[in-house]
Amino acid sequence: MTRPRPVTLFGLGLVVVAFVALAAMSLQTALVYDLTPTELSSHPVGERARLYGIVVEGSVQFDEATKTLRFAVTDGRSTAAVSTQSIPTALFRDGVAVVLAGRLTGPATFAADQLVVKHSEVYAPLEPGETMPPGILNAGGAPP
Amino acid sequence: MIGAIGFGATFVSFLGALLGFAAALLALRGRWSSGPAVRIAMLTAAALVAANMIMVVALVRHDFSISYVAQVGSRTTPLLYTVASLWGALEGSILFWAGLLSVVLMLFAVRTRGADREDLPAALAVLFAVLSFFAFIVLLPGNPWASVSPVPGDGPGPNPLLGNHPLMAIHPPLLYLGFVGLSVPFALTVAALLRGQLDDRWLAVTRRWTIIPWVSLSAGLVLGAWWSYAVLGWGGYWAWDPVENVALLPWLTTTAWLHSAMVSARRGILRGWNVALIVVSFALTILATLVTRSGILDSVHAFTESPIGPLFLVLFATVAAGALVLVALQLPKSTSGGTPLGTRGGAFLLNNLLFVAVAATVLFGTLFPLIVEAVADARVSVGAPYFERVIGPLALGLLVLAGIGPTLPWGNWTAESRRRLVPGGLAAATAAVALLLLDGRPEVVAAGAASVFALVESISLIARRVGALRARGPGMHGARRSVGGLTAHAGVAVIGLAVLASTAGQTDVTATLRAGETLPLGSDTLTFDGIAQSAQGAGRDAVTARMQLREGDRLTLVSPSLTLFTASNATVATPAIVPGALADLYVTLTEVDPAADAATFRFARYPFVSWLWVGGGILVAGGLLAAWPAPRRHGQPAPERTTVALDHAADRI
Repeated sequence: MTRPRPVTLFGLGLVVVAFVALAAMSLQTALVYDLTPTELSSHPVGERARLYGIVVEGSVQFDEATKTLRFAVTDGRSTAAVSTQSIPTALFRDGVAVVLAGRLTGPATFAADQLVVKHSEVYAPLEPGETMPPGILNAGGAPP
Repeated sequence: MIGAIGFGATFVSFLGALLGFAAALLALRGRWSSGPAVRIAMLTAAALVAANMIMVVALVRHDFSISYVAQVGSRTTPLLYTVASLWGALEGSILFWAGLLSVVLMLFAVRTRGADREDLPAALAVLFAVLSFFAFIVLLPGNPWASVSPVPGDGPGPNPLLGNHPLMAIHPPLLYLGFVGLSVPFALTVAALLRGQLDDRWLAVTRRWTIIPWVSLSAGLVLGAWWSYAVLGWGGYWAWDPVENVALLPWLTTTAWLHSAMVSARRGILRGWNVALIVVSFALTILATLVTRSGILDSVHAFTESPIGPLFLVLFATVAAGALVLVALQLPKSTSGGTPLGTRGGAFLLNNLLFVAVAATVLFGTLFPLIVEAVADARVSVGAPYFERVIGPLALGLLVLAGIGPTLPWGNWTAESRRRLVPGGLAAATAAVALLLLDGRPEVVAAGAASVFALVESISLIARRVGALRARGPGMHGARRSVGGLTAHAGVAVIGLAVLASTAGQTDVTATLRAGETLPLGSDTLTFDGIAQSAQGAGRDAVTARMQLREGDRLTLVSPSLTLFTASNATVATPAIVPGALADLYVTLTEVDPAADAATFRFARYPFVSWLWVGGGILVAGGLLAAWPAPRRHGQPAPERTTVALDHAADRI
């Protein structure tokens, strides 16, 4: 086999560099933190993130005038107030684990533009008083 | 009792795998023939198939004294899903995997024994070693046969999402068969390296044992996408979910191999590269098991909770390190020089680089959150935009190559081969102009033109090949492989068009309707008749919205539903899909208000999405056509030689 010419190698190198740059840039825009309500306070207001938590019993309110849904989510230690205009699915109710994609609006407030109720791979309903079951974070379920 | 028999069968198979490994090693050293190893392969397969059958019987009889049945079984689950729960959770899936592997091992041993296969003992040793690993996991850390006491009266049943669609009974076994099947090319390659001869026979035999797992993986991936579309209710078919990604990875590298193997067969070069692709494909199947079955996705820190994850990591590291050492020691003396790539070879090389880049992108995006969690103790998500932005341009390049590559000669580019690009070029230009007027987004125009180009080129080349064969006489031997390959390309192009149209052209609207209300949808109308509650057999209650879709004079009943699984208290939304050649109507019931007799729906139209499954079917058909063995006649040379010779002939067509 003949040796590749320097020009070919240079061209290939350029392509690889361009590819890695594209990948890095895309990663930067597509990367968001997965946070629990406790971690929310240590992140800057305005940042995009995904918030994981359990809907607090009795916290769900719907504001008919602004079509805004308000509720609180908890990780067992802290709670965060969530507001969203996205319509929840029938699976949404008190005590379910939810994933919210959106933006931090304060140290303990979050504006969500997507609301997903998560299934775990092996579903076990929450016992009263139980916090997030292990395995609920990333297993199965409909992605946003 | 039945659990003890199952455990006994598993134990026998573990001993069988160890004995088989020893027998294969003895055969490798020339002390024994490979006969005993082949017979042990049959025994081991019998034991593991029996173990799987016993588990199915235990599941069907709801024998909750067995831990796995108690974990996934339920008296209210329909029979099909009860059987399918064999592979629905961790322990069962590894038992099933080991069973499939033992059957593949046996088929390989029996099919290869008659011929003068000097690679058989070494390949069998590798396969028996892998099988011992899986049998060991079933025996100890992933034992599904443990006895439960007290025996529960009923179980929770499988994950509701998995017990909701018949596709769930076909799609995982196909993926598993693909994964398991890829251990044979790996074993053959290790054997060829040990012998120090990566020759043409290694290529031909390995190719034959790669293409069936490849077909199986392709079918499994497409059916998985279909299941996702038909069950999950969000309208998509691919979410760049880690579980999906790790199944796609071996497919990407195996597809790359199927192409680079052709360069090796023709030009004698790229043999080391081929070895690397096979080893990586096999390692990626282990990574897939590691990622999906170790709990690593829930949290990196959950990884060590069960010994199964670390054990798979050990296997992964062993394969990677062993292969690296073997390649370093044996590759230099295993290959001999070849001829330069040539025009077509260059296209193949580019194709390989693109496939590997796609695989690297997917792998990095999948593992990045795990790395971040391990290093920085923060959880991050890599969203779909990363994958789409990086893979988009690469996929575009692959589509263009799928159209151009087969027209290229191995030697210099000629005016003749340039003329073959005319039909595709004209069609692509037309498509580009049409899309520019219709849509205008540059990425849509480019992707559409590339897909149309690949499709038209593939069809015109198939027509040319078949026409030339007709002129030569009956039968199509020799062209089977090239026509199969071109058919697969056409399938990929159809998939490309379907993905593009369903993504770029999707429209959706969310609306709350009261009973009797009608919603206009373009020229059609949808009338909501009301809600029906029904007990859908034991264990599930369903709320179904009855609607009528009026398209001109045609009335179609549309009934999206919500199913409540009482055993697990989980609700699953089942979308109603009205499939169409031009667009699917996709209706999801999101909320029901029985007091007001009202319900909230999401109505979406996905143009061309049905063609995704059609394209998948074409892809699989092409693979099967290429895999179909050439007719063997007396006095003729071995089929692979015939095919190579006729490939040369076909080249000139």
